[in-house]
Amino acid sequence: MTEQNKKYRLQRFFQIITLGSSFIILILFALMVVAEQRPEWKFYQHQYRQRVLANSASARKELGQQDKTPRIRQIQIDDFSRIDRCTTCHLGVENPNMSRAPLAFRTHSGDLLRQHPPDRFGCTICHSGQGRAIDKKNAHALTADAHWDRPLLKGAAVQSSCGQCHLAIFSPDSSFRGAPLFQKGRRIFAREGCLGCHKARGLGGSAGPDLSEQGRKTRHEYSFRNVDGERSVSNWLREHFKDPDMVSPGSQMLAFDLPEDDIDALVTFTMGLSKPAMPLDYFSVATLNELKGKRAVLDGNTLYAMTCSACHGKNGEGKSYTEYTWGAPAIFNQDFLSFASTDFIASTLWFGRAERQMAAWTPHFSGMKNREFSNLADFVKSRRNIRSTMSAVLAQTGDAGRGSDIYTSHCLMCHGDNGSGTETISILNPDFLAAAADSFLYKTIVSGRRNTAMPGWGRFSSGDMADLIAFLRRGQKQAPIHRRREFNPGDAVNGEQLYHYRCSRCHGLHGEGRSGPAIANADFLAAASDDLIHTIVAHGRRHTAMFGWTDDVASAEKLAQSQISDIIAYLRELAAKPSAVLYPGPNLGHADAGKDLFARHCSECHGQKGKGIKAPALNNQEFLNSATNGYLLAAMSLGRENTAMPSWGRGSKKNAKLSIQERYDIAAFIRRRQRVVIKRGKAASMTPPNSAAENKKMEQEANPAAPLGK
Amino acid sequence: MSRNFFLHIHAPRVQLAGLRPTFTFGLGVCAAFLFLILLITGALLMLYYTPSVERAYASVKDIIFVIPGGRYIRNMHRWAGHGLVLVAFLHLARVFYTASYTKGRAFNWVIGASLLVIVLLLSFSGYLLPWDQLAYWAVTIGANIAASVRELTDLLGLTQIFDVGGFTKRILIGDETVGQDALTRFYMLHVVFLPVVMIVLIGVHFWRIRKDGGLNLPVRTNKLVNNTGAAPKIIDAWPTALWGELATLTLTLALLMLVSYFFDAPIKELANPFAPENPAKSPWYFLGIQELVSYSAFAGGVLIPLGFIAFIISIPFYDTDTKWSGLWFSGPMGRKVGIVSSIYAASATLFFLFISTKFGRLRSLLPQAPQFLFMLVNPGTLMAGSFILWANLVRRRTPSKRFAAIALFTCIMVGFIILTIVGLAFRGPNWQFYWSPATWPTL
Repeated sequence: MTEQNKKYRLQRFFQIITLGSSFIILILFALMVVAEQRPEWKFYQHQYRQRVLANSASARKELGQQDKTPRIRQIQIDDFSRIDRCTTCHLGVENPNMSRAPLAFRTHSGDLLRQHPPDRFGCTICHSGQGRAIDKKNAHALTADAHWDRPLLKGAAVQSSCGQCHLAIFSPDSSFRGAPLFQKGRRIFAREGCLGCHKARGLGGSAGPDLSEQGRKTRHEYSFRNVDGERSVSNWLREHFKDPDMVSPGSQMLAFDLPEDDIDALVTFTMGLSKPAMPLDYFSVATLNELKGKRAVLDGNTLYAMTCSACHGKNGEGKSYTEYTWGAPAIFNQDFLSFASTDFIASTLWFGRAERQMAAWTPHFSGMKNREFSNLADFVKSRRNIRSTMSAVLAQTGDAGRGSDIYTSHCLMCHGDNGSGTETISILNPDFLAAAADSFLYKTIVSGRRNTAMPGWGRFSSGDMADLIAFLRRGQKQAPIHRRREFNPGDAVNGEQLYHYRCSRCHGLHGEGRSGPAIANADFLAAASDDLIHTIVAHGRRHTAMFGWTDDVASAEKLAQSQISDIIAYLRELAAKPSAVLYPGPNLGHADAGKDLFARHCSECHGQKGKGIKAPALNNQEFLNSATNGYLLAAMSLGRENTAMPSWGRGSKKNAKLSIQERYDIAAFIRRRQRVVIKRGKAASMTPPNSAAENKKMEQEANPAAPLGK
Repeated sequence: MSRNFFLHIHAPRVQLAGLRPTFTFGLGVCAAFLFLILLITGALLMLYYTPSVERAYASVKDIIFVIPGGRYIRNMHRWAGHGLVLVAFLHLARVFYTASYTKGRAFNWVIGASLLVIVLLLSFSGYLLPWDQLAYWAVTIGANIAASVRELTDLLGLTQIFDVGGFTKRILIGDETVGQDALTRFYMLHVVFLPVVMIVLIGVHFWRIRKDGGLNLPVRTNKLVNNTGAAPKIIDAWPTALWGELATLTLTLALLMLVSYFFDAPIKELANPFAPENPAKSPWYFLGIQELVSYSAFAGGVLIPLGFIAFIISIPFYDTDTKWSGLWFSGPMGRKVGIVSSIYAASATLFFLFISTKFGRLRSLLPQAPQFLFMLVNPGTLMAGSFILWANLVRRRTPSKRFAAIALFTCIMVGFIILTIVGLAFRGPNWQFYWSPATWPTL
């Protein structure tokens, strides 16, 4: 082989390769050009044109206005940083003649486009999908290989988009028209108490993630390890609602027992909670206010349904301590409501319970407004049933014999055999009965005394009340009439001095009671007229430490009528003013004796250390700061109907009957666990002095003609 | 100078034997053409691409969806980029196995090695620009590999004084996480700095070829061609050599267009710093390093790669034997060394992979042992150690250092290929071993 030959053979080889490759290049180039010239969308535009021509006689004219040459159409919305090319194929969305065309060309449903002009809103802001794409697979992005975070929202799911701009969770009257599935989801959301654990628009608990962020998350931010079916955000949420612990192991979320439709609605609603990135003038005013954190004060009922009902139950039935590792007290329980004051409820709301599920709902953490605490506390307290009315009680004469039975079964456990009341108020004291009018007795029995052991006896019917009052008055010749002496208004400043020198030793520094009863007590002051207090202060009570300050003392010690008025003025002022801490009040028990009793009777459920096994934790600083000694005593004495807590005052086959002294001992033992005194701060001012208003209402019902003066 | 340079870059006369396709496979020319294609397609892409976090992804999507031919231009750019890395590695191997670094060509060899590094950097910096999940997390891993010196400085307690790894990372991406700063930097590196350096170095590389006397052909081959033993046969470059170059260009372009027509360049979801990809994989050419990093950040991310580069650069200064220069594998003995070395390297690599996959990490077996131990003793360093031992053995049993170099180079290449394949195909979520992506658990 000569070199020349070799050279030519090489050259020929190179030339063949060049030629072959060039041929392939040309073919591929042609293929690319063809592919560029025949995109999917041109096919759709052709079909649309055919349809318009076939549709009507005036079609040619109509088409004349349309662009005849195929071209990509796009809507550029700078406000959203979006470009939507959907109308490249969906040409008929604004053509009213296309209402019966196939879906691809069909006129947009409803009058939505009139309210949301496409040139201002585009398509994907509501429908999602990839607006920049001009082929179906990538534009709809329903398959995973389209690699797009927000696939097209199919069917009713598109309603979730309405919520992004129009939703105002906390002002139901601003609800928008249409979007029934979304609205349904919103009702379920408001009903199921989601905000107890989750925050949305600034209100709610912190146990779960903030829901405002959930709709914005992409499917890559969810784990689909335990989810069947498609890997989409909506499917994840759906499965999660059905079985939270299964989808997210370790999740504390409660499972919803909701029908499939409701879950779909809830999914749609949840996805609509996110706030899209767009200028603020696209949002509705109500939404904008909520996003800013400005919203109307909610009433107690709404708040309860939104924030409490998931744990405490829609009817306040609570969650069983045996079924859940954490229980939730039944707070609409009539026994509980009879002695839990709004102070107790509001304080519990405010401070929560450390180490328990109940969170501290301080505005700082929960976004709850100050006013809403009292609304909520009022609402809970208002679940109390009152089966008697004052007018009915005062109108009838009771049967003392029946009253005696009632006294034995309900009052005896504290007030003692014959009402002598060694440890509590002696209610059969002749001086007291001589001074107290029936209306006072009725009001005291029905409302109880807040923060003391005296519960409100709403369970008594008007007849029962009359019988009970008749029993109390059985020895008396006639009931005292409600006198209305007029007194000059007292001077509270002067009264304060007098109170501290003369009264506080027995009635407590803050009138919370000590050896004497709690007299700076809103319930007492609301029930007692000035006349009654004047009488008692001036003349005292026989067989008690209360002597008559005009009868039994001499010279300088003696109180003038004006001075008594001063004291009353001071007491009324004191009771109306919120106190810095919730004073636990008097306790006559011995903690050491209580320790054994607690171990014997209480520890089985409340735990040896009071941390709660099958019952609420009593050794909890927040609880001890919210509950007074009176509360503890009443809780023990009455028990709670339909729960595992029996009445220790009455006793039964299953549980012993504890004497009043033993109950005091246990209360003292529980109280000993209190390590800190938590100042109530703002929480105190949340407590509404509602009983005064309640009383006034009662009085008016009883005497509609002549409303009582002070 | 410009007249001098451009007029003299291509030799007017070449050796006939050097044109044999099976001698060079046209890899150098192919790489140069790929670079040219990259320059042209890259310039076209620059017309529409916007290097900002907010708009980069959308602008790439626009290029794909609506810019006429944009999809194909992007495909060609992407595949040419991958192709260039591949061809550059093959070119390196070709030059090494024909011992074409001898006889004064050491300087050009070093230039070539630098070009390889620049190619890797160019490809890596371009990886971030689409700003999708693939880009974001691959670059995050790359940046963390850059910071892996920290493992050593942490152990020595020097991180507080001077955090070399963190400093390198900050230089690279301008921040602790990949963001706008990183995008701006990578864009500037990708379209200005690295291409300019690349062009200059390619010029020097070409010029040195001619300066060093053209392709390095073995004396023996010339003898075979020209039995008289006279000077090697020299022919005019025109037209034969030029036809050869044109053939390479068209073939390269044809293959590239074929791939670009049938396979779209990947683009995933918009970068989301809150949703890491799992597994997050770096570009394929760094997967071998990522596999090593999974054993030890410092050893795998710094020690071994730097050792590799040092080895590559030092070859011409270590092996100065010119006896077999220009001959593939330096004859039958070299071929034998190469084959045995690759079998040895494959078994050693697979053995250590098997051990680490089967019995888990050493750390879990010795929970009390100091971190230093794992940094020095892990599958990566053991592989490297076994390769070096093997090369030493070959050095003692063979007459020339050349064979030791062949042994080590072959071992490294085989190990690198196996690790890359493992990283590409057999690593799943949390970098666990899986036989196929079909068996990956759902996350």
